[in-house]
Amino acid sequence: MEGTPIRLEMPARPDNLSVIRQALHGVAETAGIEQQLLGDIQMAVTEACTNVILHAYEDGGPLEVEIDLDPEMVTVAVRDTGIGLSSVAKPDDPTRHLGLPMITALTSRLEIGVPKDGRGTEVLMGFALT
Amino acid sequence: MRALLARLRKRDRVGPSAENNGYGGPVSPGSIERGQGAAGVEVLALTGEHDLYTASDLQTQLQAVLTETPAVVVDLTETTFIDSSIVGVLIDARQTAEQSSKGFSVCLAEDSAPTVRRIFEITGLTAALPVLPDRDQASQAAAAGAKTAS
Repeated sequence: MEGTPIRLEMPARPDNLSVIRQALHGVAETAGIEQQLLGDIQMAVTEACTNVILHAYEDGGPLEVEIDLDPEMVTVAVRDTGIGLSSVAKPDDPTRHLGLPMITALTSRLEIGVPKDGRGTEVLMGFALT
Repeated sequence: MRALLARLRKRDRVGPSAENNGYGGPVSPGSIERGQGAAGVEVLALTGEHDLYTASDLQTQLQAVLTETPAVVVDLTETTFIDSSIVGVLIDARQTAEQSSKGFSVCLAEDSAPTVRRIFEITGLTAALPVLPDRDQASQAAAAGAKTAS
């Protein structure tokens, strides 16, 4: 599985969060990733995807999750094609902005930027395997 | 991709898996069950996984219970996953309880799912919320909170 990124794309909707965690479970099981690290990855990726669902779009849009494995690191990129994570403030946001601090606490590497095609936001999270 | 999503969603509906040890295991669908604990305190027990998808349902049920009864416990003993949206709902419920002189507590057992315990550690929730290790103690704390507030 190493060297070939796995890419999922789906509508940015809350009912897809469990689908993403299930996919992460499948990848981790195949790659032999330990349960504790998988739990951390599922938590951080859920938070990044929740940010997309709550803040990236005025009226819905795509959510992309790309998982890349190498011997030392699991890297997960969460991308949207929206207008920026902090641009859409929704009054019903229940997260109290805890998502980003949680991602920071759970990752070995974190980069937030713009995807290569120049549209939207990319959250790149690395999880050390050692 | 549509076939994969359909298959994953179908699996999601099958029910909690015996393989899920609450530490990054397969997905268990979230449900909220209302019951009663010690001292007649209302208990909302969360089973399976809870995130933004179930957060509004939890918020609605908590607000209803806090309106109807003097105290409530959120029992996370059988919860296998929560995220920041659920944490936010719990913090809101605590504030609502304080403002309306009601009792509120959370039950998080020593053997609760490691991922759930971890989010409490990372966010400092254990210090921010009244967290008790079993349903009886949590119910007693919520009942005492209601009495103190009234």
